[in-house]
Amino acid sequence: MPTETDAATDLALEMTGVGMRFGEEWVLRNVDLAVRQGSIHAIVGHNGAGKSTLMKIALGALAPTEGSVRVRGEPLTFSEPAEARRLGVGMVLQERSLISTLSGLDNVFLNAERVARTGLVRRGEEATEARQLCEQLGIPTSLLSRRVSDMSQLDQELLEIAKAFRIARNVLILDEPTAPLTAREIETLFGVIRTTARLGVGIVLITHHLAEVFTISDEVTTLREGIITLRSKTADTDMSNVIDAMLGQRFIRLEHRIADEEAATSLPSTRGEPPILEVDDLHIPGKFDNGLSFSLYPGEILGVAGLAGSGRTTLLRTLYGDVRPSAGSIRLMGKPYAPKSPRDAIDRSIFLIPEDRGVHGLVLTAALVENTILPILQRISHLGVVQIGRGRALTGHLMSMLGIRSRGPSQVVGQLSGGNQQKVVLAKALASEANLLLLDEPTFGVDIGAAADLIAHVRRSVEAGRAALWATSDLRELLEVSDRVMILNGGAIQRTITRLEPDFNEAAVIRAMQRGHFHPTTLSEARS
Amino acid sequence: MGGSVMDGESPLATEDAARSIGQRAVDGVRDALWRSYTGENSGALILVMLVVIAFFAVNLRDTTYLSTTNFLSIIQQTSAITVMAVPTVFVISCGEIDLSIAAVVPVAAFIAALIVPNQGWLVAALAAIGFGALVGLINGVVAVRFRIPSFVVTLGTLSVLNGMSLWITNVLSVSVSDQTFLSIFGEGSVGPVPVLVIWSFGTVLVGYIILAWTPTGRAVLATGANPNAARFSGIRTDRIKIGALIASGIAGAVAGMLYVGQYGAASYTLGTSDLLTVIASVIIGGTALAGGRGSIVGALVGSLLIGTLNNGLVIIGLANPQQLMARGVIIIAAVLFSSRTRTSRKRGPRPA
Repeated sequence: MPTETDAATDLALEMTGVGMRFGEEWVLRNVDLAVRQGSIHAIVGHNGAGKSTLMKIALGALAPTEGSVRVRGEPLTFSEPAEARRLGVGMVLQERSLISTLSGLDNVFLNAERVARTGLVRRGEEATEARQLCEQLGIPTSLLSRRVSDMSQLDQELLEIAKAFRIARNVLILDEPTAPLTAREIETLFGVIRTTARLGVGIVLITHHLAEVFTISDEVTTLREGIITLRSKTADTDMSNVIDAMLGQRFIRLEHRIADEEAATSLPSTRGEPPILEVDDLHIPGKFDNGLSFSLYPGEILGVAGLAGSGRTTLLRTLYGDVRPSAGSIRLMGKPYAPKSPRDAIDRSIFLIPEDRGVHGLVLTAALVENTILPILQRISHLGVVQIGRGRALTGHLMSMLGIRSRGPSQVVGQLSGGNQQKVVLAKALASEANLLLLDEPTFGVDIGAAADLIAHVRRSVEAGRAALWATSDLRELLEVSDRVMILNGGAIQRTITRLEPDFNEAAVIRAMQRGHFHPTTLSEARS
Repeated sequence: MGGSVMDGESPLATEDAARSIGQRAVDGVRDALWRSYTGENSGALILVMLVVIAFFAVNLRDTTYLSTTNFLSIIQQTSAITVMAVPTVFVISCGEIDLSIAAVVPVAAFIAALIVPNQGWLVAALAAIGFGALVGLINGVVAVRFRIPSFVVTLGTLSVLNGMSLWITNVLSVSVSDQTFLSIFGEGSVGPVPVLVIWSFGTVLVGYIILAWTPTGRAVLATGANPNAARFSGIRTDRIKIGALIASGIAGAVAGMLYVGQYGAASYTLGTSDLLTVIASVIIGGTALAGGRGSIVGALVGSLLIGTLNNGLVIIGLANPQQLMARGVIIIAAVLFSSRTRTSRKRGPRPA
């Protein structure tokens, strides 16, 4: 860490008293953030804690309602979009910004080409500059001549850093850079991040992996509901403190809304009924190479937790017939189940709510009613003719139940807001009346009221003898809906916690989700 | 196993019981309106066609232009195009394209013409149709299983078929004298209605019912609009695509026989300029080239519009070069007009 000579210029990024209000709601309140030159500053917090809003402000993309931002002492005026860029602030997004068909070099200079007076690109000049850039950062220069589509995830991430660093000489923000990487790749990436910091850049690292915070960061800031709850040198705090700061009062176990006294004190999995779903030693290449076994019982909602890349989505898609397992067996209602396509899954009364509604969930160009009846076309047909009147009535019923705001069943889904679109996905799932629901981030972007309605509905249908597998990164929701929570980590079930266990809480789930095992010894090693 | 575990909660069951007879009647009318809406902008197109007809009618008031005979002859002349346009709506709507459809025409015509004398019209027709189905099957399976764009696959079969049609008889034409065959596929009529008109409207009717009323039609549109969401909704998108391409091949074969029926002979020149006419009819009719939106009625109107134009331009006395140019301009104008009416209808306030 650089010596603290001049506090004012020593700071790469200084955000003072930043507040941000959308309508009536403050999403950030009085946030102070000081990122030193040459240091790595971790920002942690749950989804919705305000991290992305804060970063958008730092990038000059959003003007804060109050407060000020300085980059190396120079104030950001939010007068023009490229201002922060000019001041040397850049960000590597979680989603790749690379063009996969172009070379590394072309990507580094994309839309910033060195153009000669003749109108031609100065390739030589670009190549020299890019090579120097890579050498500075400790990135292999061979990346420049290779095509992005031929690169590993790590190489792509490194290229993203090189591309961003060309602009971001003062502040570089990295959003979940390790998500798609293996443990070994992460080490390499961290090496490059440290090198970048040593060049004097202030690094902001957004991550959900607390282990990474304690491995690489110099300082850590915790955000909860728009407020800073912890600001510390990483060496002066520990994992428990950070988890406390992330969760606040939410530590208290959430009340289960199960009226029945007996149901509240017993678990569906221990009532002696035969399971609906039995997964035995399931191998899924690249995600679960060591086999996965679990059962799901009538009346049960099994929560699936795990960080990005833990295989939650892959597991659900395998059960839905979209991904083929390499070994192992599945039994459904006691009978062998080996789906070859989602059609097979739907025929066996399984339905999936996929996580990316625009890609797998909805036909955005079609009407609400068209989307809702798509999985049940055969069921609502009579003599080979689709009873669109029935479909419309059913859609209307589901729309009012889920509170879908639209001009009616004939409105095109793509015209709805994101939250309302997600509700249409939910309507499809409810219309399918499946015995086994697979839900992948079902409440993403949905308001609290609708989420509660969905939970209540699934709970009710499950109590009638069905079952659900509920994957979500919202731990509060996970603990609220689940009878048991299965935590995926490192290609295996790290732990299963039932709601009757004393540590059925967010802290226990977070611990089990973190990469590797967290014993006090590894922690102190990581910190030293 | 189905939904047997729990029936009481079924929204379908409760919703059915709640609907009164009056409600059903209202729904019925609304359905009919909505289904004709699914037929997209054929209304605007019919308007365009009426304008075109009116234009010719005024300019050709002293000729036979405005006679039933002339209009029936337009429908007959366009019958092969209409028959091919209907499955093309399905193919394009599910996100594929069949460039080989018109290349099936002469080969199937030869097959039928060569078989008719010895085996009779039925075997000849079945053989031709079987050949068309086989071409479609090959197109579909290669495109779907090997994930090759159908544009490329059918470009390949197009060339193979062109070669075949030149090779079969070494560029000679084969005449057909079987009266049953000629009558079914060309000269005959049922009462006052010529068979070619029946072929046209029959194909359109079947296509319309499938696209607008059946689960298959919905599946086709969903597959073209978002194949992933369609698959995750349980639609076997591969089968849909293969099925559409098979229908397309069969239609090519039928069109081939319709030409034989009209001209009394099979020749390698049959259908040579039809591919672009078919695609133009479909696109004019409001089917989206990108998939997901299709209109059978529109394709019929498109086909008839082009036929009317050709007919009128001939009677008006334009030479072929001017005809081609005028036709091109009018096609673009028709699409422009119908797409403008569509976007203006969809515009409206959005809820938050």
